[in-house]
Amino acid sequence: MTPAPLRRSANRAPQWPDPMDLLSFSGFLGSGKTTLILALAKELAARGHRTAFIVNEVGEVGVDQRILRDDGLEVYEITSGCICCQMGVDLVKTMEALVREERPQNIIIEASGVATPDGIADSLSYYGGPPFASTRSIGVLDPTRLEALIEVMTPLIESQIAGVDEIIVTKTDLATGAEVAQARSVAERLNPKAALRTLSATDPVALADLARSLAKPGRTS
Amino acid sequence: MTERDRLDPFAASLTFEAGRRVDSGGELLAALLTDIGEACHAAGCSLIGHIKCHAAGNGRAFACSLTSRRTGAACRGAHLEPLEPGTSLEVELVVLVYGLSRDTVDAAVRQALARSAKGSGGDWALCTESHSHSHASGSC
Repeated sequence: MTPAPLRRSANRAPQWPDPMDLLSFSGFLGSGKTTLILALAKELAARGHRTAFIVNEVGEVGVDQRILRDDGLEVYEITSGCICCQMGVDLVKTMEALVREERPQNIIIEASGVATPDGIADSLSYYGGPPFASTRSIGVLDPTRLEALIEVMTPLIESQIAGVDEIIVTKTDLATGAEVAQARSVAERLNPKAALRTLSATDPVALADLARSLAKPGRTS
Repeated sequence: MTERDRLDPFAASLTFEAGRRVDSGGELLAALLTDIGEACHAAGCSLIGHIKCHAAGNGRAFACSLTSRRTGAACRGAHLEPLEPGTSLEVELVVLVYGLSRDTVDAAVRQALARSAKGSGGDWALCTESHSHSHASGSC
């Protein structure tokens, strides 16, 4: 059954006992979003935070959500479409339901690898539940494939970089120095205001440091 | 959308039955993903988006992932444990590659499964396949 269309939200519920933070991760397929989210989940669990995870994957079978569930995380899945376009209604309804039922302190969204941050933001503008204390969008960038990605799909990759608050260049252990430098350069050119970091997920100390940083509340929405 | 940025998601549920001891479940699946990637490349795919799988069986679970031929496949979770004869793995496989039709990807997967079965001495069963609609790279 096709869900009823949503109206863009103007008045949100004014009172909510616990402030909620929203963090959304976007980035091309295989860029390292799930790895970052697993590290962040551990940090949030260590802080005793109630966190809900929404995973949107391309295709009808979800692998990422199974990986997150292997670590004992509560995951809401949205498959068979992209939350930045045809599944935007599902995203909003899922968020409103989980906020009602779980009362999380954090909501983490893992967008599909073909989603754009602007599209997700547009979908979220229809959210009518309690307001978020802070929102942040994180873009994950794989430097080992950046050249090939830009060659094949420039608009998608550029919009994934341009529309976020923070950019994390991953896989620095697999990339050459030139590839990391190129990724930094592209990120700075397309989104000069975004905070920019580099990371190798094989470095547990760096990964934990990043997770601690991401676990702090972001900008006020 | 052009042919090179065409993305037809391919997904399948598989079962592997070990016929003889396999030293590492992760090595088995990493080799399978690598072989699928090579077959897709040979078939003319313009870009590997993500070839990944999740495996579960005998109380353990792991996942493997391939995003490029250069960086190769990597696994996480309990992927180092061996598979003893008679044990099985339930595997969810997703192949997201650009520039190939789903029929071509289907053929690449079946070829890779046949080679994996021959090399490992086990049996692969392709239980269910699902194909969702195309998703153009720039349409979101």
